[in-house]
Amino acid sequence: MENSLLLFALKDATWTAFAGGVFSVCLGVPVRYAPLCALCAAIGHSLQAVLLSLMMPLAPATFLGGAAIGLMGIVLSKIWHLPRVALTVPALLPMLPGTFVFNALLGLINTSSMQGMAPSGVALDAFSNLLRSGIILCALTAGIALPNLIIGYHKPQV
Amino acid sequence: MTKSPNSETLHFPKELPLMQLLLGVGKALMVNGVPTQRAHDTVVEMAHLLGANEIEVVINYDGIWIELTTPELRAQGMSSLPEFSVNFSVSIAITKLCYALREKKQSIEALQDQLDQILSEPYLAWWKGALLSGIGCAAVGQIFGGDEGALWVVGLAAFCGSALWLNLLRPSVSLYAATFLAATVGGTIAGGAGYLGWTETPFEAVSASMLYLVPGMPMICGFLDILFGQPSIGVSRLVHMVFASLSIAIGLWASVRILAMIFNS
Repeated sequence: MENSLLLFALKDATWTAFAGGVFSVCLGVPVRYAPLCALCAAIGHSLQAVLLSLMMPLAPATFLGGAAIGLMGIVLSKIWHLPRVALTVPALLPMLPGTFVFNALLGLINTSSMQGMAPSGVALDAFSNLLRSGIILCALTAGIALPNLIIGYHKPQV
Repeated sequence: MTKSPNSETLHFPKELPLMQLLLGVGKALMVNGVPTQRAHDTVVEMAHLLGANEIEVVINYDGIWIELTTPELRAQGMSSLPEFSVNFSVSIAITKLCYALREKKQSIEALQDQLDQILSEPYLAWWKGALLSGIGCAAVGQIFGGDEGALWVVGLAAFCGSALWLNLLRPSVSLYAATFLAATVGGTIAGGAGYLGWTETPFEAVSASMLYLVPGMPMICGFLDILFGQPSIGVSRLVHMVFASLSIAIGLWASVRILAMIFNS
């Protein structure tokens, strides 16, 4: 059980690190700093995946994954003298609720293109997916911003 | 030109190298993606390191205004902010420049030269950007649970959409129109591949192929701006995020209609 969880987390971390590193270069982060973005992405997403596999609900798991990214961003930016957003923005992209958003939009399109009254199940599914996407996005953003509030931006720094 | 600190004379940036440098730094940081508080603090610290006695910096969603007092004079300057993009290489280079200034004193002219060099560095070529977007989205497609076919489908759809998007990103084309077109092209390719049976997981393929369009920087910076006392810029960034997301959604809707017309006929 523990081994399979570890393997699952490792596989997830590998794909996410790859995606985070590639997205960081896309956004203009110099290649020598891409591994830092990859590390942030891997830790945040694999933490979220492990918490989900331990039956934690999606929103709190995403919040904690986002907080891990925010915390890593603060630590690494202080060590390497980088802006925090340059590390956190590429790392959050793999955590976006893409499938939920897509299902919500597809449901809305189906609802609007049906003749007469749409079945309540279709509309309800679309609304539920839209709501979940919104909650997950808020949880992710709040999670990334949380360490900034706690550790803080108390004094001017370059 | 030299006035007492209490003089109300207005000095425009071109007359004062320090003002020109500070406005340039603030503008470059704001346009290329940092929270407003950070841009503000960086400008203030640079001004003090370069000998200013007092400085006031006001950043709004469309401009930056600075009033500074040096031992010789008091000056004001302002600069408009163009529509922002995301190029973290600029904000990283300016951050490094400021740390270097903190450790070793440099002249204003030398700093201005370095800033000009940072701003003149070419951004990633469109084909490299498109290729990297394709690879990144393909990897996320696997995280979303896509099959092996989805890896290639997402890569192709994101490459084509991103190539179009990067070529459309110019002042004469609306960012939202470019986003809409790129989402339509990417969605049509990924969805069409699903119809043709190239992947068993078309939903995951379509959603992953649009990730490079997601406005992550305005989302994070907008939230941080609101938290750290810059609500007007924060709200404007979040509104931009909402409009960009709506452009993606409408592009997705268009791709679904196009696919319905092709495959249901």
